[in-house]
Amino acid sequence: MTDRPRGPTQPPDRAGSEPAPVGLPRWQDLEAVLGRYLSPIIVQGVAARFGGNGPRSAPLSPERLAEVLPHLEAALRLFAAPGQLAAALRELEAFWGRGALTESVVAIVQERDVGEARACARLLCEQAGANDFVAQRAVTIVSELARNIFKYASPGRVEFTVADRALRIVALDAGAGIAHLDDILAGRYKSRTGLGKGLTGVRRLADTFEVRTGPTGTRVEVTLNLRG
Amino acid sequence: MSARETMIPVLRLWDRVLVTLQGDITDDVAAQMRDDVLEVIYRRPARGLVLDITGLLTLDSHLCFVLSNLAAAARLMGTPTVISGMSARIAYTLESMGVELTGVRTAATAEVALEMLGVTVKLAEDSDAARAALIAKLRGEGRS
Repeated sequence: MTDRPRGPTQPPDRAGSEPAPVGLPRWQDLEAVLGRYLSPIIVQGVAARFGGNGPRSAPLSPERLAEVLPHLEAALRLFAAPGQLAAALRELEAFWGRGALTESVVAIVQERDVGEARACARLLCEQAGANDFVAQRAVTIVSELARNIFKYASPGRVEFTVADRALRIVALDAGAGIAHLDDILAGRYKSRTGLGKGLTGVRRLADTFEVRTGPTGTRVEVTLNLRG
Repeated sequence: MSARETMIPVLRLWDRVLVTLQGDITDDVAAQMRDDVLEVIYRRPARGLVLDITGLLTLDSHLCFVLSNLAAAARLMGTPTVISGMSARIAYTLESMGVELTGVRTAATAEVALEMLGVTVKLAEDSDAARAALIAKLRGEGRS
């Protein structure tokens, strides 16, 4: 069960000179930034290499944007005047995550919802331009947390938020709480049904990790830096 | 979708059993696969089991547990297991998590895994006759 992901609506796939939907930048917008800091011949070269085949006025999908931004950043680092580099990178940075999903919630009721949560994490990471290794960590974290809910405390939900190129994952349930939490986190406890490594694994994979648990439910909050 | 609808094929090749895990695998599907594999080995003993995970999207602690369990059960039935095709991102994630695949040997590819389990390959195109035919063909082309 997935809530409709909240985010800007996807653009129609046709190209034209009409303005892009709010939030989705066009290649010409990126080019305008480059043009302020790089010579025209270099901007042309970058456009030929990374601009794609579509019209310059076509909106860029979040995935496509995440794909080209690192290349444009590299071009700025190579060719922008040293005194202007910081300002140039700031301008480019503002494009990160434009039009991408920034929030989603997956309810965990049935077993397949666990897969749904994994797919959601994968999509958010892809749109945020996370590399494969970081995305794998995010998906694995979500898999562990969502399964814990399904197995021990269903129903519950997993909430996702992307901000400042970091992913925050909150897993919530109203179950009976995690017994032996301290033992589990200290690695002293092994569950019969798993390696007892799920939650400790999550803590090791995440950049920040926080659990609150009690007889009325459990809340695990994790953040992961998507910059890699 | 029931586990039956998304069943993972279990192949028998030269007295070895090969299973390829792909995409996103739910706990039900993994459990069904484990039972199917053990059933196949029970019906006719196998000299080895290869679990190829080249196309697997996520390997978390639970699936690791299922695979180690399967390997341990197969070993009790006299069948050694090799896991092949682990991607860099999965290997790195497992390592970071501190999850171990205990009691399972690993190989880079399914080919290597089958070799580890005693399969030796003899290709038709490598035979003396095939080589002679190829040389004759190349000579013929050189003359024209």
